[in-house]
Amino acid sequence: MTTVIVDPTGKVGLPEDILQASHIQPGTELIVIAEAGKITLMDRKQVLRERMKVVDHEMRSRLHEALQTGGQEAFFAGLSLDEYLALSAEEDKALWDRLSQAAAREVKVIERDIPPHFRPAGQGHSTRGITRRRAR
Amino acid sequence: MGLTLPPRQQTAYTAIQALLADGTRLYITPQLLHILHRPANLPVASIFLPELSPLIAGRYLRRWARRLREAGISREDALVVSYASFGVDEQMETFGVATVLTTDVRLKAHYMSIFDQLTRRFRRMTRQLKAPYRDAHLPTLMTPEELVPLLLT
Repeated sequence: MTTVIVDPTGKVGLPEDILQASHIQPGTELIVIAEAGKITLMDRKQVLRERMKVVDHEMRSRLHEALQTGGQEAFFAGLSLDEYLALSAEEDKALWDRLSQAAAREVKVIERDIPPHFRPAGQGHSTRGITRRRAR
Repeated sequence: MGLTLPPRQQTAYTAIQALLADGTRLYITPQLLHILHRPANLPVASIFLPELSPLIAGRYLRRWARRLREAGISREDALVVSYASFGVDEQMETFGVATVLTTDVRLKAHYMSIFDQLTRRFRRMTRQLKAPYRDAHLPTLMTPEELVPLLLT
């Protein structure tokens, strides 16, 4: 165990062997998680991976529930989950093309004025946005 | 659950996982929402819908979709790409999105091949519009295979 001292300005120098053991390079952006008597420094990518596990757990819980409540036989477009996952890329694209073409016919596009104070995504209140399309 | 996904679906799922973990707002078009709302698709909808925000159509969306169709993009894809410029998120008071995530590599390749031409046409159209439409932008199209390394490495 290594001991470090917080200097009067609040700074902490991390010894070389600690950086090497953690695979964290000088200049790496770290996320600081503070609790009473404890500070954890984590690589942002590592935090992302940890959060991904939480997301995965939530998604798999929902999948489990969906399969328990009738989704076992008909998961998507009349196919079971196994049947859907077994589709080739071409079959998958054909299925989505058919669904998308029907939806484009059935959903009427009604445009609305965009208020003048609305900003393009990424330049205002929202930092990023992604439209998901056929990402399965 | 011990579900193992085929590689193509696993990459797409990893991209969605990483984006959600990163706090990125994920949008869908009303057309995709319509598909997910069909009774036959409710199981899959129940997994993803809580994480997705539907866009609504802003003015000039159909006009830009027509221009995209003239550039050789299918009717359905043109709508999606046009929502990425003129789709509105009323809650966040924003419009458009930064990136369209697609598994359609042919669409991505075609979009990239005509991107300069599209940019010129888009600028010609938007520069004569009033605010906020003149600030609209074209999205980037990315596949999950391109996005995942950017997020995780």
